[in-house]
Amino acid sequence: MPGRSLQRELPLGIGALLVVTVSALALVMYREVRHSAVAAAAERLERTTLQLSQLLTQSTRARYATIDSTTALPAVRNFVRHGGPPPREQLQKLVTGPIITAIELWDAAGRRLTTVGGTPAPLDSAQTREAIGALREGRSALGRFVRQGDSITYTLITAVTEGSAHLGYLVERRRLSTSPQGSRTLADLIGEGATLAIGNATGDVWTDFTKPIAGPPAAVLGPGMHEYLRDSVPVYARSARVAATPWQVVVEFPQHLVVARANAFVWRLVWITLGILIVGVSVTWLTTRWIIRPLSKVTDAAEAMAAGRAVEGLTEDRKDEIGRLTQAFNSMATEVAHSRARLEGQVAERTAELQQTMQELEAFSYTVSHDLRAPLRAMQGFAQALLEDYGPSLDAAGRDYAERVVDASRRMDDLIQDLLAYSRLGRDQLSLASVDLDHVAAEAVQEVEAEVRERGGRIEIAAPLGEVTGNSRILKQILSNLVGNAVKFIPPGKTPAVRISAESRNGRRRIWVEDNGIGIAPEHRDRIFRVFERLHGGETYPGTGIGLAIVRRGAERMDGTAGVESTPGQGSRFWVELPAEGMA
Amino acid sequence: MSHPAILVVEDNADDVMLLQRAFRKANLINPVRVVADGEAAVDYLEGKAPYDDRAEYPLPALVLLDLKLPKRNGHEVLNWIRKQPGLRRIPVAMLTSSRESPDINKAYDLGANSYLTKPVDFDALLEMVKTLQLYWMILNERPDIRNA
Repeated sequence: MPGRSLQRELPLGIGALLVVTVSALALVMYREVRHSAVAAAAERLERTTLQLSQLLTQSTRARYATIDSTTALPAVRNFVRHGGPPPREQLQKLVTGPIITAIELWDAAGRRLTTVGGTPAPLDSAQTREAIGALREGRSALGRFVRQGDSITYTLITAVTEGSAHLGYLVERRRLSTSPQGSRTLADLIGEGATLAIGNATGDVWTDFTKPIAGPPAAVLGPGMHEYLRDSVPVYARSARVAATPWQVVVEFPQHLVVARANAFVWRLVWITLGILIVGVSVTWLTTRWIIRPLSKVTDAAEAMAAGRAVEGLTEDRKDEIGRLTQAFNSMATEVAHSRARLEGQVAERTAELQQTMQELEAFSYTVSHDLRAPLRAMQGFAQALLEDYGPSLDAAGRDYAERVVDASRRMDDLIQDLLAYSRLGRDQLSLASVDLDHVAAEAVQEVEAEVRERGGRIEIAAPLGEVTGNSRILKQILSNLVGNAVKFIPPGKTPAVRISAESRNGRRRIWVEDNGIGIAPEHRDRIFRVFERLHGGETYPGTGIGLAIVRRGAERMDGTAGVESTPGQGSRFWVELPAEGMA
Repeated sequence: MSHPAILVVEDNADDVMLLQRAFRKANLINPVRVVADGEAAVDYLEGKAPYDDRAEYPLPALVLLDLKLPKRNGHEVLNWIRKQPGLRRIPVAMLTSSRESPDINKAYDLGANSYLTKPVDFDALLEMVKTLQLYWMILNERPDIRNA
């Protein structure tokens, strides 16, 4: 069915609305989840780095305590101050694990005096100075990481003091590495998927406790959470300074791990949305159908009724608005059908009445034709017989009476003829066809030709008059009447000059009958076309008063018009306008 | 041979009188017989009594037939004539008041030779009678008619 369909549009509309709503919701929730995942990661990072640094600090402090007691040993002090045999035994105690590559004793200038445990390469002068410089704030200090080949080393330097003067230094040479247990501990601490890196606070020399690695971007050393690429993988990272060391730790989380959960959430949401959509659209469609289907049945029935087609009653057992609508519609349809039947009945009645009236008129006309004229014939015939056969016996008055009888009956006959013609114009079925005007005009003229010639006048036909669509009998009657009038209404003594012409006007044809007669005053121009309207008494110009009424009615029945243009004293121009030939 | 007769079938006495006056003024030499209703017309043409004497009531060479007649109307008489084997060739001219086309058409359908309407004006009636005489009695070739 053309046009819009609620049944289609509602579910689609609701579906679209659902999609939009759920999408918006999903977007918002995704951002929230991601945000909180990242925030959680950040918090975890912060905690981790803090814990790490605390751990390191603790273990370092513990070590400081141990070394401290060693540096207080007289043997160590004497050796550093005076030289002599190195206190190897005491120093050896400090070599507690593979991390410690050697224990060294330096003099106050930083020259290496002795090495126990191993023989690492001595520090160069810059490193030595740096190591000693680290003791600014206390008696022990951790040195910065130094890269040596594939390993990272650092120093733990403790001053051997006499009062506030440094006699020398006890330096632990260490290598940064972890035991498997240590790795496990670290892994547990920082959590799955994360990477721990430790390096100098100055930003160079980084390691992940197993091997040297590239350092994070310098900006990471600032506070807060940072994002960058580690081996082409986007990561979140946070750093923390390890207190009392020249180091910092950085914990990195790969971003995809952080947002993995959020992404998984989104995917789940997509499937849920799809489910909601399908269910929602189906439910809407079913509901719409439940509402719309009876509605469209009513709509179809209403349209059928409007188009005039027969309509069956609708069945709908519901008690709600739709049910009530259907009931109301049924009542209305019944009412309309009854109305129609009533109206048609009335129309049939009226038509029958009309036909009866028409038949009565026919009968009346028939009677008039036959019966009214018979007495007339007798009156006129015998009055004339009286005049002719017994005229000499009558005196002038007697002859006059007889003549008046003859005249009266003639007039009555004219009247009856015209009345019959006028009435027939209203009743008859008209057959319209193409009519040759020249032919009809010639016939009409023929009737008055004798009289015209008698008076010395002439009738001119401006041929060719052309053709019109009309009825030839009526046209002849019209032209007869007009030409007859043209010849009749002439001042005595004037010779009649009548001209018949025709012209085309806007797809119609206008026939003119012009005369040089007495003319018609403007105020009478419309009146004269009415029945029984006469402008003159029977003495001056005889007539029935019906001639022009016949002209106008005849023209109208042929779908045309009639009228007159005239100037009193100068003649009249009567016209009849009809559809041109070929136009109905 | 005597002149052929004219049968006038007309119920209106005035019309008959006027017609006969017109015949007189036209110097019609043909004998004229008048019947006043449709039954009488049929009896006349059949030769039934009282019209059985063909010397007195000869078969006409022309029938002037009115439409409005008692007992049988003009159309019925015409229809009857056209069904009689011997009589059906008789020239019949309707002479009546009505100019209604149903009447005219029906007359021609039933086989009328002519349809004339009675003029009110006597002079016109006279002209008509003169023309009738000239046309039907003198000019027209008459067919063979006999009682079957």
